[in-house]
Amino acid sequence: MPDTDCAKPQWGSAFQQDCCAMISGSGGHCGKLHLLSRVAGRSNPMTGTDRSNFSCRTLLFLFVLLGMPVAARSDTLEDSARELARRVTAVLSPREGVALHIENNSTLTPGEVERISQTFSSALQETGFGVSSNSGGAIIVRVTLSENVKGFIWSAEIVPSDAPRVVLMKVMPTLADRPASNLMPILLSSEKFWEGPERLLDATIVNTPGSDPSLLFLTTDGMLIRKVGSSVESIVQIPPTNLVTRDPFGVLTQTENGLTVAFLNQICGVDIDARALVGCRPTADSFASAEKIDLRQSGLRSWKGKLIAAIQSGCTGAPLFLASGSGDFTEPDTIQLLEWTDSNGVRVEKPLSDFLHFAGPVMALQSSGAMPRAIVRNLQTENYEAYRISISCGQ
Amino acid sequence: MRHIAFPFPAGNKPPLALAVILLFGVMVGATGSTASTRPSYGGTLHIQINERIPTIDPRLWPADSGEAAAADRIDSLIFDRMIRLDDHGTSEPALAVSWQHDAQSKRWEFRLRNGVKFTDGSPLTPEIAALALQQLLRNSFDVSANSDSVIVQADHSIPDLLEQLATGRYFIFHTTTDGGIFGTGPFQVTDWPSDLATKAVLTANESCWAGRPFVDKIELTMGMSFERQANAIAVGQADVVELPASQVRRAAQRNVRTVSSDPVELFALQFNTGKLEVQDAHLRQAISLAIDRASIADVILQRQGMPAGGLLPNWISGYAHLFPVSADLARAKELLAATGREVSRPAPLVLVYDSGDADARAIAERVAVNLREAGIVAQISGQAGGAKNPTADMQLVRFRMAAPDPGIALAEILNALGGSAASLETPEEDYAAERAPIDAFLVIPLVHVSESYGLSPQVRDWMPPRWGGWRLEDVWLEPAPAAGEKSP
Repeated sequence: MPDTDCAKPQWGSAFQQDCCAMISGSGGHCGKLHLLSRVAGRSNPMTGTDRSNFSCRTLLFLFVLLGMPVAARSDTLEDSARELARRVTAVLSPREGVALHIENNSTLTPGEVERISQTFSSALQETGFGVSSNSGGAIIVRVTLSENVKGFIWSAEIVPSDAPRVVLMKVMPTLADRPASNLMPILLSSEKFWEGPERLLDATIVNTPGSDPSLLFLTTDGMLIRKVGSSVESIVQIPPTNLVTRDPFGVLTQTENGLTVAFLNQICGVDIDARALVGCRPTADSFASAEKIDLRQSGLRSWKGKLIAAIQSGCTGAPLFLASGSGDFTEPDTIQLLEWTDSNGVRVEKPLSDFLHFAGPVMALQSSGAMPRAIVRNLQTENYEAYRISISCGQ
Repeated sequence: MRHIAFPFPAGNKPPLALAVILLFGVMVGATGSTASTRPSYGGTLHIQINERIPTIDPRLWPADSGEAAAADRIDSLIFDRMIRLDDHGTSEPALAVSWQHDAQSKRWEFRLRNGVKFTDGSPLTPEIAALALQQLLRNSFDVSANSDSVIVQADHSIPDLLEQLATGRYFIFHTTTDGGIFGTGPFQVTDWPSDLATKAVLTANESCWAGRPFVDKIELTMGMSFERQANAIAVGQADVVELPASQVRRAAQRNVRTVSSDPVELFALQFNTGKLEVQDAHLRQAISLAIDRASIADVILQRQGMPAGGLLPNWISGYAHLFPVSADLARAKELLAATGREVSRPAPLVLVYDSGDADARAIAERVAVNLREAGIVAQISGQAGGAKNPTADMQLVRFRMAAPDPGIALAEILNALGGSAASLETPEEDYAAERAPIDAFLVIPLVHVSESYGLSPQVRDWMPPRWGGWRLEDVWLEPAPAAGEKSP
């Protein structure tokens, strides 16, 4: 399929177009495309690539709303290692002995490098090449796993003479895991369930009785609902407001009657089962009421320059809150569990967990019962990441 | 980050919306102290720069890469492009909300965003956008308009048109009969200096389609020497100043907050192969092997640079490790012996550098020292503006990466070196094109340096792209503590 670029970031008329067609050529016909998602759930933690067939319309929306999703790491790295091996063997003489050296100059983890190394070696051996790490071999293949602004660049230098041959290959970026802290009495842990280049205001996983959970994404452009482990997805169009800001705010809240989507100056109801907007109303003065300083009030989201979110737990008798750091959006950030108590009218905060460290600022911290959510902008990958935060008592 | 939804509909008053934003800002900061994660509105940002840009008109784009970089930063405050680059260097919508092209990539159609206005109140129309682009793309493309789109047509394939339109001078502007020029960007010009003055004043565009910027005003002082800028930031007379790489550490020692981009500029030696003295490739190779790039990066530039074996920094190419950077003085002397220079004792080689560039002077001096250690006598000569000198044997040149895309950045550098490349679409094509002038020792990469700034403590959310520049629309100023208020 010839290259066709489509970016449809607006609501309304943008979605009336059924496909992203070329002006000429095969215009009007949409091919089925493979889309690689990056959803990782607790029960299925990044172990497989979720390949689904989507229509062009779907692809169009996801390009816009969530950026071009990238494969989970498992299949992609091995596939890429095999492809690099195939290209290397194409320039080697049959049955040569190969001394293999692999160097990692990228953000790949040692475990990932090991997997790449094993796959690459196996692929060479399967095509009849003896592989060793001993440089005494006649042919030296020096693989460097590097990285540029757009993704990984893997190179293989084949050094049989004064003029080494070089094979270069682009590889898609992958996800990174988040370690949990374990030193304080209460264990605070995070689980990343989404990563992508589009700015997320909020994201959550919603359980609906009798069906699979749904992933909900809220961006500055609108909301997408997608079944976990399914290719079924829906767009809920939110009517535009007259408010444009460079510091957008939005939060998803599941209620008994469905879902609410709150922005700076309007709140909308969404029927998840029907995948439909119920209605919206202005809320300009609802935020002002948050000036009444009640830390348990869900409307209050900032304290001493930190984002805060209440978390339900039976670990202690006092209210527990998560708090981000107080840096700005240029700095790595943390989340810590705090207990607030009143002592003679003075509010005292006591840390109950170690810091959870993130590779960028916490852009949003949303209360959600026992499992609040954090949206982080990773300063290394420039992606937005959605985490569920949980605590374990009695450590 | 994309700010495209919810444009102000006609008839709505942005100040009312702004009041809601301010109310929210007050709400989230109501209990805060001096530290504040959420942005604040208001204040004047004072910036000083070394370059002096005579006009904001993108049609009068500077040829010099340093002046062009300054013009890019300033014009990005006033104008928008059809396309912009996200933090990964990937094209994303700006004034164009969608685009498509034919199978040969000769004809491109860009659908314009609705409801955008220039700061003189005129609406953005396909005709105005097409006229602006036609003047900037000149005769190599035919630009036209239809009801809601701009069409760019060429007689050859232009697969990298998106990247081209997302960088450089390709801003959409609107001119009036009285000579005014207006943009759709986050700021508008209130005062632009005449020939003798240096201070420009920009004010927030309240109706900006992407949202009002956080600061009310920018006071930009141009033509300031780096020494004066360093003093200004130290005494609190500026919020943002430029720092040469060799002065970043010194500024930090003076308690100035410093920030640096990834390496975005290349210092390199370019040979004047028209001169007989440097036509021997063995001599040029010996010069390359004699230069200690690591000491230039670590000592001269105080670790604000990276030794460069290739033209592109690794964060753009991903394969810079394929170009060795280590010096080999013994091999350099062997090659020199083969040239016979030790016997003939020719006149010193002349190395020209930009006399107004403190980093360039320091690097040129170190190169001369390295060459002397190898037995090559070089005489360095400062030239105002680094202009080409036909009597020079070699020139210390400084290239700025035009874009975070390896193909575009490489093409610009090769073009400046007097060469070209047919196709730069795959890493292997990029590598081969980059390899050619280096293997021929027509150019010797020395060091990649970062773009560095000194910031006042009040400047928050300084989040430029990793390839440098400004994003002042996202910057906000920490409000001064109220009288009697204590920090936590």
